[in-house]
Amino acid sequence: MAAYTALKKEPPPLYPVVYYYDIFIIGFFWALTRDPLPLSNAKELEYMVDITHELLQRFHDSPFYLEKEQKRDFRRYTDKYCSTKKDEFEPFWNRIPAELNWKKRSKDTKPAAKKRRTEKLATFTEENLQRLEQAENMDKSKEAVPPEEKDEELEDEQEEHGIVEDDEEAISDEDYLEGENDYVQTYFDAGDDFDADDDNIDEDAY
Amino acid sequence: MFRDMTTVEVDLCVAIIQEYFGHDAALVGKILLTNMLTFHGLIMDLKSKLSVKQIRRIMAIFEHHNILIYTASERGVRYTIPIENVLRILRIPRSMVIVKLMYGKVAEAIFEEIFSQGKISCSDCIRHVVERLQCEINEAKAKFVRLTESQLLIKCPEIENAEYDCPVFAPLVDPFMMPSQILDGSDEIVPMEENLRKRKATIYKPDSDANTLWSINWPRVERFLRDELIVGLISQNELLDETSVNLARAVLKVGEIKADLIASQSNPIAVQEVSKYAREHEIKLSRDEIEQKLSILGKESSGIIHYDLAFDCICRQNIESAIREKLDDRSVRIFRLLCTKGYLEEEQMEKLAMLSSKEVKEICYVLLDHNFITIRPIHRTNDFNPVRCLYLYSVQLQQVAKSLVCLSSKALRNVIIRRQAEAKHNETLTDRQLKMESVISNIKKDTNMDEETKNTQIADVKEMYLTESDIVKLDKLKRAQTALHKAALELEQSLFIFQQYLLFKKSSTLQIADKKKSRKKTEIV
Repeated sequence: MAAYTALKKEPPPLYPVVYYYDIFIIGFFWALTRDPLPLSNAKELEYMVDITHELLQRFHDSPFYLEKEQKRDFRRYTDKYCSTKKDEFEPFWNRIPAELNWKKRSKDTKPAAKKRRTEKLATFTEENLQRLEQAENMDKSKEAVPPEEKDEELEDEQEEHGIVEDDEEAISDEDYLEGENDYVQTYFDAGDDFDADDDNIDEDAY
Repeated sequence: MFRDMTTVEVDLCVAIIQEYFGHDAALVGKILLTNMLTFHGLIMDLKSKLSVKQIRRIMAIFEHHNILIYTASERGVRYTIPIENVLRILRIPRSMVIVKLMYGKVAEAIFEEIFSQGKISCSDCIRHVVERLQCEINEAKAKFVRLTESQLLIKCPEIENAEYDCPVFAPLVDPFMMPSQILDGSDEIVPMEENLRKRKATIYKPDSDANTLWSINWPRVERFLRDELIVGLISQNELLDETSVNLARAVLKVGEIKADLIASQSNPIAVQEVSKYAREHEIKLSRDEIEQKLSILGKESSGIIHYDLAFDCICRQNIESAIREKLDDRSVRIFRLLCTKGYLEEEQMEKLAMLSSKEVKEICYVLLDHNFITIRPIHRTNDFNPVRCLYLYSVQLQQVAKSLVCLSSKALRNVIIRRQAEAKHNETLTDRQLKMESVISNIKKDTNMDEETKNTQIADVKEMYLTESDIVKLDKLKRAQTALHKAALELEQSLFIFQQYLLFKKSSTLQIADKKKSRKKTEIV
């Protein structure tokens, strides 16, 4: 075994080779000790090469192949004419797990939240509408009923309504308006009796 | 499942995926080849590079092409890609040639269609083939039936339960039965209910068999490839003429129908069966002749085909040719010697191979360097004195096969990448040539001019687009591409041989282990 080290002198020389894989790379390789055998010219092999070529072409044209998007430094005019149109890929949805489905999903939470909000809004507006309608009805019923067609009940009701309304009418803000003067509405005039009850003059004169 | 892989094979599969499915798919594939992940895990790994929609789409494409497999577990659905599924893409050209030889051009087109679409229903497949080849529908139908009869195509499992997140598949009952009604979809517009759609959507009446999908039955295809290799081995024997070789092929076919797909030995085959097959397939030999030839092929084997021994032989031949290419003929002699004799010392090898001591040493050391043979030191004395140590050389065929699998995978990957790099480097040139071709074809189609002006115009166009040196470059590129394709095909063949050999070896060791277990059980009992 020791004789082997005597036989082998030094490693074979390295040869630099320039090759291109995205960028130009210089690699160092050992040269082959023997020339490789030539490839066979069998018809079968050439036919198989044609098949491979055709198959690759087919795959590249199909929707299964996605080319890497190349960022160009500037836009070219031919860009929109160069891109080829491919059919969209539609898998058999029922054969793949549901999480791989990239189309509309029915179980999302967001639409449900929106639904709740819109529902609330709907009910809120409905209540308001009802209230306004009632208020309208009350006004209408007060005006629309002519005095000849009064029943006693209606009269009573009306009196009730009327009393309420009279009260309301009686205490309306407009009664407090005194016209144009400089007095502040919220001015409180206590009179002279406010500070008069000062029996306890225990205040320290600070 | 991941123990039999190597980084080299994984890299090769990534290169294949990149070639056929694109750069993004290769990113996804790289992770799935080495791990079994949930979808969420996959997204975490690829967050920076791809969007979720892109990942979903790529995974759906993989599943469609029978590359991706998934299982439901407690943590969710877990996905992975077995290496074998990706390597099958490389075996398509060879299998297409076999299909063409056996069943014709239309069958080959059907096979190609099913492969490139992944999964497709019978009616769709026949329609596409008829469109592409302009052949008769009945012929296409007949060929499809033939392919299913020979079990080259298999149905995809039907869905039993689609309610859960992961589809549950029912076991295949009749995996090769043709659907009873095909091609009955038509262009009639089925009326849709009013409240389902606002716009008028046209839905065509679907085929009755739109839900039975067919794909390629790979175990059967690999069986075909193996048979071809064995026939190749037999035909190397110069004593046999062509009829004997055809007969051997017939024997293999008969064996195929009876035995398991991955059996290392077929069941015994009777002469009657062979003669019946011969009569069906017009091999004009009388019964006596058949008997005679069969006895030449294998006298004592009593009708059993030994696939494992055949592959042993083929594998050894391939290794020897690899040695002959890398080193020289004398190394092959030593290798053969060691294969037949087992363990030998240097002095014994000198005598048996009739080479000088220096030559033997040199060859042995070089073979050792390349891992074709192994050395085993045996110490005669207790104190491990190197002078009293015996060095035995031997060939461990499994180890050699494994190292050659790595080597061929590496070489195959290099070839693929080199081919892509060359094509990309000369992209502008090839684009220019394509443009020139389209301009020329437009000129030719033009009916306004006569022959002469057309020719002058074509000449002008040619001159304008491509110079002399360009033409030379393009020619060189084309030849380089063909050479690289051929190299890839040959490498794929060797890879297949070594892998099948290792498979047979593994199954035989399992069989031996089982036998031992059963023997132990009977002993205990």
